[in-house]
Amino acid sequence: MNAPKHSQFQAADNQAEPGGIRPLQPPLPTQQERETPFWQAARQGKLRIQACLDCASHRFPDAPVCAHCLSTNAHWVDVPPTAVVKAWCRFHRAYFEGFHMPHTVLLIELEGGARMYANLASGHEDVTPHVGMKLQAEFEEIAPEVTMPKFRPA
Amino acid sequence: MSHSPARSAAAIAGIGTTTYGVHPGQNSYSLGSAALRAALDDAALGINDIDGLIVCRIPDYQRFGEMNGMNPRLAFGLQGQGRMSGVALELAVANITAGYMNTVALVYGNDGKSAGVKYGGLKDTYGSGGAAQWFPFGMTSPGAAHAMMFTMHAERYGTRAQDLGMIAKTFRDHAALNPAAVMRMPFDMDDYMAARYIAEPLRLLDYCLINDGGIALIITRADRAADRPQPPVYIRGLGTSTVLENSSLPRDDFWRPALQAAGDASLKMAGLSRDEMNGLMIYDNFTPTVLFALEGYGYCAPGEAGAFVADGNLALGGSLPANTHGGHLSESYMQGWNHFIEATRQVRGQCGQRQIPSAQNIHYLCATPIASSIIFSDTP
Repeated sequence: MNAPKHSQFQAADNQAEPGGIRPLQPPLPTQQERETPFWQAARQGKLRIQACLDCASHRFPDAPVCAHCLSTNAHWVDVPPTAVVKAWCRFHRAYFEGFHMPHTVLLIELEGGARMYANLASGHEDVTPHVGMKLQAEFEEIAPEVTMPKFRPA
Repeated sequence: MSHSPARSAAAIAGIGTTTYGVHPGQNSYSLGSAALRAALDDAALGINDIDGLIVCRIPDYQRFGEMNGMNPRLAFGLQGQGRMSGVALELAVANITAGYMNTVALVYGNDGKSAGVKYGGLKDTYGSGGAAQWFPFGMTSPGAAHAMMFTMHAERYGTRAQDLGMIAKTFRDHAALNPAAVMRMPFDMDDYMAARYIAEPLRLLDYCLINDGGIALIITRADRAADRPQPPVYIRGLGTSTVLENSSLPRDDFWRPALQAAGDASLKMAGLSRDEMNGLMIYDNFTPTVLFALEGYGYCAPGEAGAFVADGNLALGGSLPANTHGGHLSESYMQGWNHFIEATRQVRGQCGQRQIPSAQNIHYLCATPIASSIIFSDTP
């Protein structure tokens, strides 16, 4: 049986349901991604980022080469659980199931310079971000054995 | 004064298009083939006159050549990204300048509408092809990436939603004068502001229109173009530059260094200044790229493009009419190719009601990780 096509409103309603209906699941990182130190560390409440051993540049996602100095020597370092907003947008069109709608996505910069997309932490979904806003990480289990760092205003 | 050997070495001798819209039962091959025949007719040339074939968004050059009974000396295909239209034109000019080719056919076919192509969601590959890694965060679609870049621009410079609205409205007003445009109903600023958000701060009317269509151009040696029935449109200046480093995330420099380099190179090649441009064709997948292009290519100082468009400069009758066909926002999202067609028609003087008076030089600007700046001219 085909699953019904969910509109953004249905997805939001299902999430709000106190019980009975299982919330729709947003896309998850692949098994291969989950095995990287970033996602592994998130389960322990830490932000862990790949860093070049030669020029110390941080990069996310992990890559075999440092785009800054072309070194292939790298290790993983823990960075503070803080970030700053570099850009943001808010999805009113639901491209995926399972997100609180409208759904805000942040472009953030971590300490050390790595950039990534991120989401607002639970209870802070309706915050209107601004460029330069300081953030604090919170670690939320988004599926069994998958923890995602999310962010609230610091 | 010596100048680049590529300056006006090549000219557009023929253009062809299908109609734009929904073409059920067609695909990129049939749409490209129809456009190619129209372009050859326009140039009064035959299939055997083509010695170079570059197809774009048509999956296989071999199948396309087989279908059209061609055996050109050189044939290959480019990815179906919009930024590749400028690359294709540059490759044609480079090959002609070098003497490897005399006549190159550029053929584009897009069946995205009928094929139900989606630019957001689980099939998204925008960026460096690594879009899927961001799906768990709910990030997807080129529109959202441009929304992010607009938040950077807006918060740094005070650029307003109404500035984007003015871009969308101006191009729609132009489309109203273009029978080939898919969307021709004018709207006002209230309509724009009332349109629903897709990826806030971008609204529906900030987005281009996915449609089916085919486009072809016949590029030939300038001396040969002079013998064809249509007035030659010279590729007088051309510059390309890239910014691929850190390009899968929205860049807060709006690709400016690459745009500047490409723009300066094209003006130097053409031996022309910005003041000598009679109109612009601006790659407009989403309204914010128009701002980034105007600033990056030096028509506005950084941060001033919002006020520049709000003053009506891009409208027909304004100081720098842009996208007189309606652009990707209102004619059709033909990924830069329909901008080449409109530039050619403007320089030929074939635009009817939307003709720019004495359109001698038209400047194409593309603000993407591959920056293309092309100057179309009636004079070599």
